[in-house]
Amino acid sequence: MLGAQAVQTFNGPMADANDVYRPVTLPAKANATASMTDLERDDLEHQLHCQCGCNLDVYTCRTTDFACSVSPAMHADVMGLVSGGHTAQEILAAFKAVYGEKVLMAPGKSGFNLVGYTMPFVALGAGAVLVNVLLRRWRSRAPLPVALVSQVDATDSELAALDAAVRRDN
Amino acid sequence: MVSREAAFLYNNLVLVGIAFSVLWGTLFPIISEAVRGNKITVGPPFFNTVNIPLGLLLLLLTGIGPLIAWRRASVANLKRQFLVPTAMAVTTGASFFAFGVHDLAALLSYTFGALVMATIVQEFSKGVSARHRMYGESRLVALPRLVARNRRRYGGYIVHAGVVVVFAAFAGLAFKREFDLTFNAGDTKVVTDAWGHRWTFLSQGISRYNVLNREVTAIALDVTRDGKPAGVITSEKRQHVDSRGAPTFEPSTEVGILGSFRQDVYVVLAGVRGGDAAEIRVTFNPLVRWVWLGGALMAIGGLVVMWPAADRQRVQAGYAAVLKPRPVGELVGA
Repeated sequence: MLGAQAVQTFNGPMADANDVYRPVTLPAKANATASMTDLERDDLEHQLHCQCGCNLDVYTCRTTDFACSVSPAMHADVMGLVSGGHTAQEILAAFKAVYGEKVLMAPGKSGFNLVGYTMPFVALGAGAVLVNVLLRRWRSRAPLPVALVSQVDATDSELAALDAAVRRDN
Repeated sequence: MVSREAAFLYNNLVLVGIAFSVLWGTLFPIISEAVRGNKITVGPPFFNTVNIPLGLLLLLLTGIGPLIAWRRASVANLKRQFLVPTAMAVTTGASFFAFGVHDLAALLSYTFGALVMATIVQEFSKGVSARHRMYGESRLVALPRLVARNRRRYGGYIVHAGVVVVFAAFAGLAFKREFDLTFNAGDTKVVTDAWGHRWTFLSQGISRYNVLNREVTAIALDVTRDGKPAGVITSEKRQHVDSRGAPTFEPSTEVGILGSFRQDVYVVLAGVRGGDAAEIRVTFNPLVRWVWLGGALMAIGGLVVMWPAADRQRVQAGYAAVLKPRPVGELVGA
């Protein structure tokens, strides 16, 4: 039996919540009060991956798709942990302990996951170094600038026509 | 190393970097599972963490590139070119901060966007002024002729303007507001958007009916903004059924949208509790239409760039030579 209040009214052929839902509970802290505001709780649910297969976070799934019975159940667990006085980090850790790291919408920034976060920047930095080296090499191969000519054998109208042609072509 | 060519190269490098980060983020769950043996999810927070800095760098380079001279820029040239755009960027950033935009990504986005727009205006202004001086054209005549004379350059600037508008729209997410509301028939709820407007939603109740191949559950809300009628928004849940009346596919949601250039108001019927109480999610999505506007600007800029240049074709035709036919005997005897 799910802990969430039954609010489902649209009965599509959804995956059975009992197949994927697992309760996440922790003992309430002594003299516990709600550890965060509703807004902070919603932010927290944006970091949790609904396990129904929708690829959405818990908050988005439960507020836009009531055919899903998993996200309301996960939401109920979050509510229980919040009212038990647990912090956001403790709640995320509790979900991770039950479902594994896949329950987080983005991998934690530690261990091997750091490779995931840093690789694009490392690749970009390596690309920048490569471009820099290539630019220096190309510049060193470039022909020397032609000596400027102080006077040319042309009339003013010819120079004006040349100037206009160059501007058109620019 | 400071030249427009180098700026182009670095710009393209960042574009490739963004493409790589998307590929990397898509493949990383597989790589992680292969290396560590456990599954992970790589969702929007990962891509936001990685791609927002890259996108901002791209926007900054978009503003810097056109300000640098070809081949090699001198310090005096850089000072002269950067003065106005940098001043505009700093002023814009400070103004947005003063008006309460403290989200770093949004703040940088508008600051760099101002740099790019100031660059574009400066480039157009210089070009038009040059034509005005050289040919005595009025500025209104000079502007289209300037673009026509160098479509690649000025079409590119129009594309840049489109990019700025799109970034401004994306940064508008910083002002997004969401509300989860429960309505019984006749209930009224009041919420305030990021601009400080008070929106009132009055439920006209839930209706259920069958249409063709679907069962529909709908809610209509009378909407007022600051006391003035703004329209009626309707949102539906549709459950499609087969010929025997059995549900097919997942239920789909028809989002009610009230749009304007400032923001779109989305109303989503999430579900119904106990027969009459509708669970509604109201979202104020700022600057959504600007995404379309930016896309249209980019398309127009692309058309300007690609439009064939009739002048060049005529010049090339001038090189054509007409060969005088030689007597047949000369050819045979040769």
